[in-house]
Amino acid sequence: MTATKVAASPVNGATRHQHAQPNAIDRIEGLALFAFAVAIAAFVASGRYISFVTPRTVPYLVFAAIVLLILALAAWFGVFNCTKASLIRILVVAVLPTLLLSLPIDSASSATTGTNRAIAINSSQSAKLPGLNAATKTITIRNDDFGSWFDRIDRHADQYLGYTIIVEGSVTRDSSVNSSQFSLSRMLMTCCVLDMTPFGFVVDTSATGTSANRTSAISASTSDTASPSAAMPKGNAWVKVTGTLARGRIGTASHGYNGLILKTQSIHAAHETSNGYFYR
Amino acid sequence: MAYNVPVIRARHQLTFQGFLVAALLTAAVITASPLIDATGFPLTAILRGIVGLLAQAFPFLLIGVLVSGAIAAFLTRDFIERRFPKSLGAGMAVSLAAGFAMPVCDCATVPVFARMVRKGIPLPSAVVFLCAAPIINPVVIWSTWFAFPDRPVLTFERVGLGILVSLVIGMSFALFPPRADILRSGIDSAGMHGNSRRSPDCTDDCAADRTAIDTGTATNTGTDTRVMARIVAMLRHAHDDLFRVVPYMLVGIVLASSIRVLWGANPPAWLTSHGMMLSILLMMGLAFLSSLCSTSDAVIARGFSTVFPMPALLGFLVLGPIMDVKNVLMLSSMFSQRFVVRLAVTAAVVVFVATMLFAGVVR
Repeated sequence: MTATKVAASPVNGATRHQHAQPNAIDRIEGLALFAFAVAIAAFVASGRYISFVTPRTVPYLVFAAIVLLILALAAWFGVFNCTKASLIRILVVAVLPTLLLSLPIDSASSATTGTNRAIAINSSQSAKLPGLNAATKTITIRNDDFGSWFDRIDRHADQYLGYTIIVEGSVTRDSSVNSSQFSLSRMLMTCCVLDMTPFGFVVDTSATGTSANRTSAISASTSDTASPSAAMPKGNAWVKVTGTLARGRIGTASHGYNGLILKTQSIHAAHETSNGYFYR
Repeated sequence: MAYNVPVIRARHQLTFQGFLVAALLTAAVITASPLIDATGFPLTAILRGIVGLLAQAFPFLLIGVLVSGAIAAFLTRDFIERRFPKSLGAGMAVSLAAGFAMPVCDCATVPVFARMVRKGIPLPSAVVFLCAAPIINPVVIWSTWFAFPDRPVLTFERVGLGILVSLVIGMSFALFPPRADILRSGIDSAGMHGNSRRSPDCTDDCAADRTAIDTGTATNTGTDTRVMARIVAMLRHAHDDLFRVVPYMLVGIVLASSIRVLWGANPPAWLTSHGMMLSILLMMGLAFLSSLCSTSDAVIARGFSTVFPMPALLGFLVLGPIMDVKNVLMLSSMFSQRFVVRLAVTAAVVVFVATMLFAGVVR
């Protein structure tokens, strides 16, 4: 390894120095950073990123790949004067992220969490969303328009009160709803896979005739989506709800709040046709 | 090749072997994660979270270190110091303005702070700069907005709380000035900025480059060569900062992903039963220990957003840039232990009180 030559110059107190030839560690760092840049490029180009982050991140990832490429070239030509001590940092900073981005990280559950397709929510107020029939005051929400319509209705609730809404989604229940309510949800990714969360309409079944009627409607389509003895569809079942948008109590009288609910006219089991998550 | 391969191999054989073994072991653990899942430990989910956070946070970290490197390479370090007002009020105002204008994270503000103190800028003003700059600068605002698009108000709350907390901490040093010299004996200004900015990877050559840039005396007379030298210096700054900060970022990412996956989407019962105070203290503790770079900490805070309430996230986002393990170590190398402890305790108390008050207001 050639030593770095440093020579102090008395002129203006400046330090004049001359770089040595790149050493083996410089080359290793250059290769590792190059591999990191390629891993990011492949992560984006293959579409694999969809399972981890929203498409909003793509420009930033492309930028990161370009910067890493520049750093890789600089390292290869010995600009950073790496030493033996650099190896551990190269491992942590470049090799570990490269492995994380390149190697398959899949579990049996990942296919069912809806991370294979990203659907943008159109938040534009002027956008004409399909499915609206103003004459009959009906909104038939297509699967991929769930997020956009939910956003629109949430922001302009008064405009759509009393409308009949036909929508599909997954049944989720938590402590925020009462025993005759459930959430008709789809998945939302705001930033990355860690914040993936269900979002959607609160469906109130208390106005839907008798429990027996609701159950038969659900059981008629798919017997495994609802228990014959249950008053409501099972959790995670995919159902089609026809309901009227209204304001009502979400949760119980003592622990709840007033918000938008869908008062059901009918609930039917449906086949899950459009897997994917929404993002803003 | 110009270097002597056998010599390198002989000197670094063990290290090279360790490097390869560590890389292979890491690859094996990642690939075998579904098998480890079978034992009941959700490694795959944690790794997926780590990849998600890494892909979000890393580009912002790169933007941060590049801009920070550009400032260090293209502006002389005396730039701020020469123009700094000596009066308290104007000094604090200029500190805030400089914080807005200088997109640097906390690891870059500590050396600037040290030089400000050495140059005789009033301590309260310098403290305001130290605390505010890593929170209120454009890159941090940008990354916070990116991480919380559904809660844009959080970005304003972070900046507002950051300014308030910085001013209060600065005022505490105006009202109760330290009695003894806060600088460690034997530290001169050149030593301060030279040593503090150097990473373990930074060679003498690298430091010499920085000295040339810092003193504004480019070594070459030609304009093109001078620009090229500054670009190289910028790349070195960015590289050194990147290699120093990424390990901290990875630790923070692993912590965030593990906590989120192991605790689930909702906070554990023992946390909710103890309320807001415990949540804020926990997140402040995490911010202090994880030593994240402020350009990318918002993305990691996002990972905690389903587990912890908003005031606790604010405690994380405001305390972390001001005071963490990394900053304590950097400050300790230049300032007296008494001063560093006082600054750390003051910052923790002020941030805690501010976020508790904020929690009371938003409730």
